[in-house]
Amino acid sequence: MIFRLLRAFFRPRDEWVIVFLGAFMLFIAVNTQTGWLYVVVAVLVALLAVGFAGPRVTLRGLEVVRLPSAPAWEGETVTMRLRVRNTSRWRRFVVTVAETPPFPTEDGKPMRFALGVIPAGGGVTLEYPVRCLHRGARILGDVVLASATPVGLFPVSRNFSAPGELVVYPRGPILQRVDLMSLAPRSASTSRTYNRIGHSYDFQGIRQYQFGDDTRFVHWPTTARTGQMMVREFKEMGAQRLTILIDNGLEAAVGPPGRAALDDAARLAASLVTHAQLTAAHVTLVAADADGRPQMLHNARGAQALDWLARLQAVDAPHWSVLAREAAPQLDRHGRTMVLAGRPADEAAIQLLVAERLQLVVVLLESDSYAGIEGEGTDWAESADRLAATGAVVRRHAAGGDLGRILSAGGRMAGVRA
Amino acid sequence: MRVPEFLLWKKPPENSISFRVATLASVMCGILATLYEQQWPSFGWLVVSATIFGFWLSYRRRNETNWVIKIFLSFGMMFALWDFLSNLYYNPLDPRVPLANLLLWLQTLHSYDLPARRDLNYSLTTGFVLISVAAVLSHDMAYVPFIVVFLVCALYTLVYNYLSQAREERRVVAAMPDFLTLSRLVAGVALLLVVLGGVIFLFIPRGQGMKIRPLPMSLHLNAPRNGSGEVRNPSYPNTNGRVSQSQRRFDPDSYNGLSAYLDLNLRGRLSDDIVMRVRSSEEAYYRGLGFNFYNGRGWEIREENLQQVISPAPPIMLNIDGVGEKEIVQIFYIEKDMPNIILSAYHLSQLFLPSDTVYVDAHGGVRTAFPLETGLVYSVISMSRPPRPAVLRRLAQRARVATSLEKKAAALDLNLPETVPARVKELAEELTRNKVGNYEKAQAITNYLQNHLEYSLDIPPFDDNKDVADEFLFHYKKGYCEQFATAMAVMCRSVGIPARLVTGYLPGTYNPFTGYYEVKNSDAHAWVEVMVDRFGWVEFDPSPGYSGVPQALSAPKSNFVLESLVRYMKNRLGLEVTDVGAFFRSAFAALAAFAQRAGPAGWAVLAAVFGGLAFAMVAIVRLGRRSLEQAGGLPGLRRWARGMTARAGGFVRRLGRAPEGPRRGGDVAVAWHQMVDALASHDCARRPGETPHEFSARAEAVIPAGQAHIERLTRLFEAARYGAEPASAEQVAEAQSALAGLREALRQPSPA
Repeated sequence: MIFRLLRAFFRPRDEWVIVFLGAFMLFIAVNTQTGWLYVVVAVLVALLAVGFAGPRVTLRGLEVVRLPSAPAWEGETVTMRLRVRNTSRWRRFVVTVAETPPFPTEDGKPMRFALGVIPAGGGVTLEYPVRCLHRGARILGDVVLASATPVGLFPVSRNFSAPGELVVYPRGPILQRVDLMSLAPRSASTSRTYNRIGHSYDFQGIRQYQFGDDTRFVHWPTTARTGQMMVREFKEMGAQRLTILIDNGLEAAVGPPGRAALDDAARLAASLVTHAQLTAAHVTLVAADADGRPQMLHNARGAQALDWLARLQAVDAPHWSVLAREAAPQLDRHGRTMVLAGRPADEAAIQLLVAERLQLVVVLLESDSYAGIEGEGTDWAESADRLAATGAVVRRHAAGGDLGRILSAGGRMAGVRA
Repeated sequence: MRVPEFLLWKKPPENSISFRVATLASVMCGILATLYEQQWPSFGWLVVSATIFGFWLSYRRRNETNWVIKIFLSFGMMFALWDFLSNLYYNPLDPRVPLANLLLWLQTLHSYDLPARRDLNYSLTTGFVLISVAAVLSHDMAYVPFIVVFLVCALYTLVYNYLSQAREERRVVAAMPDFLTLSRLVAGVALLLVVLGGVIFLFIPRGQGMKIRPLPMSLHLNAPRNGSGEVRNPSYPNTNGRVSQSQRRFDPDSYNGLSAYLDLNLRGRLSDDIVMRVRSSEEAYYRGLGFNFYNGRGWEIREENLQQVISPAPPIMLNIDGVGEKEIVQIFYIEKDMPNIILSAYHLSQLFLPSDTVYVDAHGGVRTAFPLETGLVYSVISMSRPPRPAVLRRLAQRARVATSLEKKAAALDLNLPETVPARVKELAEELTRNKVGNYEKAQAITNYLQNHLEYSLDIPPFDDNKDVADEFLFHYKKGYCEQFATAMAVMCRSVGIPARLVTGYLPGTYNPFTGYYEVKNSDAHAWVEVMVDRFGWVEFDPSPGYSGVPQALSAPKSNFVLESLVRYMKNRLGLEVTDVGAFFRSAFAALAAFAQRAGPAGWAVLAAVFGGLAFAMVAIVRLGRRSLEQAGGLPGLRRWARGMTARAGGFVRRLGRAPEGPRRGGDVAVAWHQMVDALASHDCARRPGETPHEFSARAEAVIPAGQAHIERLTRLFEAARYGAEPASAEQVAEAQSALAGLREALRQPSPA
């Protein structure tokens, strides 16, 4: 309050200075009967009137359109583009534009531009680079246009709607060689990668078609008989099927923006999806939706999967084991199920998982470390041991660790601290 | 704790040269205007050159701390303050000039410390204050170029200031407007300000003001103070009432009414030169001398009982014929050498004069020991006593004992020479029959003179052997103010009413721009003061076309400048509003006179003004063409014009519903004025100074068909306007019927 008063005293607004001068000159004019001072006062009043109307007229007929930006990866720099259009019949002079960028700038201030002249019926395009700091779908809102044209008095600012979205894909480590089979303790370890799925594999059965299934394996006779699309399933194909269940509960989102366990989970999932695309594996993504129910993306591939991961948000979700149980009917029990967990598993969770008989690979992303909480990690260790005891492959990962090593041989195994 | 930005000592430097040049131009306008209005004092060029150098140095050192300069500036400011205080000590009554000088020095010093935008803004504010100070000092229209150029420069400064703000901490995307584009913008805004400001100016109410004391007066006198109080008019030396034909030489530059003897047979026209400018809180006659002795050919001041009034410090307290309740403050700026007679509104109370001594005669005249020389400034406060007829009538009806003022007036102001024929007295008695009290009687005589005798400056000298009043009333029947005033004074005296002739000046023409009443030689005037029972002296002006009772002048004065402006255009510039050619001739003559007076700088200013106007006109034409194209051509323009006309019509209609002040004479007067307007549209306009009776006679000759109506309406108007009783409802109905009849007659085709 004191600062505001001091500021008003030391840096009064120009309008108030003019009002004061006008009132003072009117007082002098009346007292001294000076006609010219009446002229001066009249001009000052006119100046205030023009100064008041000018900015409001200037902002009339202006529109802001946001030009779309392509999705970007974390760490990339993208160009944001806005076009200020003048739909009026007159040129517009000196309009300032302010926008809060999708990611904070170095000085933390909004982006501010000054537009000199906007031609009548034309427009001016603004561009500014933005470094995408972390994954997400950033909703871009209003742009503030301000003007005090022509004489700098009575500045007025208005919010102009310029809807838009910037999608930033999670960028995980590049996986050179990952054998999903090696993550499964009950299968024989092999270093082969399956670039294609051939007919030499053992036939396992026929099941209902799922989105993303290769149409080459449609079993037409059964399809014709049942009226539903059915596909053949081979034993070896199970190894090439991976379900990634991401724990997007609130605990997993604790941490600085872009550095929560959930973000690392998304990065890891993105890496796996990209890798699976190269190896023609079939990946299904699972996470909780806003209601805590499992939402799934079958045959997650390319931009679609990355977009899904970019938009993944923390919700008030049940424990990931509950989510796994609810999603289990739709999962392929012959494939692997990788859980990127931000919460440890207690006894009840273990019971649930055992009942579902899933081939689990659990990556415990220790959310305590993401939140900056120093601890013994007992819960995580116990959880890892319990899970390992059920036959699951368990990896632990703390904040700041190398994500790329989780799926490699160097990753910490259950019960082993790095 | 972080120190707020506005408290930081170091401010970001302003790098825009254009902004600095525009600010300098604005400041220079203020400085030049102030110096010009002070008749360019000796330090003028120093201020100008030092300011320009200061701006240059500030730009060069805008990134430096400039501690040394700041220390020197502190000393400079102390010097300026000392100069101001010392000037104020020597002239405490008029702080305007010391204040102007202080501002000039402060601006000069401040120009050395302008590193940042905020400092330039302060400079613009100081420039504005200087141009306002020049407005206070200005006496004439030479101020126009300064304020016009200042307006343009200040607009450039404001726009550049805004551009500088817009650039601050922002990325400039679309290029900022170039100078040409900015100039178009400034021209448009300037035009808008002129139009809008003009309209606002017309409707700003003007208060009476002048409440703050002390009042200004000259500090020094050039003329020696060696007089003893006798009236000294170099053009008309004192002849003690004996004037030979050879001495009767008319001086068009000096009014002989401001001399010891008023010769009523002196003929000639006074010049239109301005003799003084007056700031006045009210419109009032400027009273000079009162004459008490009439010799049949002229007026003298006898038994003047001159009294010396001494006051060691201003004001000199006076009490001229008692004081009233209405204060009138006036400041006189003498523009031409005048006699040693103090002019003021009647009932002078306080006098601010560069002298400790004045002389007061028995007839209300105040004289100085020195002539009033060009450039002299003095101020007066008068306590006027506007008469109230109803009160005066009641006072007159009561039995009473004469007051000392009445006794004195009876002794001094009742004498008449034997040369005055009896028919003058008979006429006066006839006019004042059945009238109660001196006021009503004097009013009746005034009405007669105003309505039955013709005002004319072109009359021959009267016969020296005959009485002027008699010749005027019964032989020539035309004359000017002195004959009218003489006739009234003589008639009043003939029926026992003390009366005296008074000379001085009319209020002059109010210039709404400068705020001064401009009083010309030709505004010299004579009128009458009549002793009214138990009240005192009351002024009467019997000349046709003038106010019958000058004290009541201020009552109907408009507070708005519009009316004053129209009157100024008509009177001061000598042209009707419709006479555009004459207006421009006068305007160009005034500009040329200004340029010659100011020398090369004046021509430069003039060239800049006309260059700016030409540029503005080109911009307006281009703007108009573009607007026309964008408005959809002529059809679009017509639609727009129709809309604007409808709006303006509504506004005018609303204005028309505003209540008007009562017109003297009531509804009959309204009808009569409507008749005058109707006749004016049929090539029969009323001439200035023409009495209703004269006008009626002329109109009847021009429009014979309306003869009966005009005569009837004029008779009713005279009764309502000058009679003691207001018009009855029957008279109003009769007047309106006559007006309707006249309008019907005017609608009929002429026999030709």
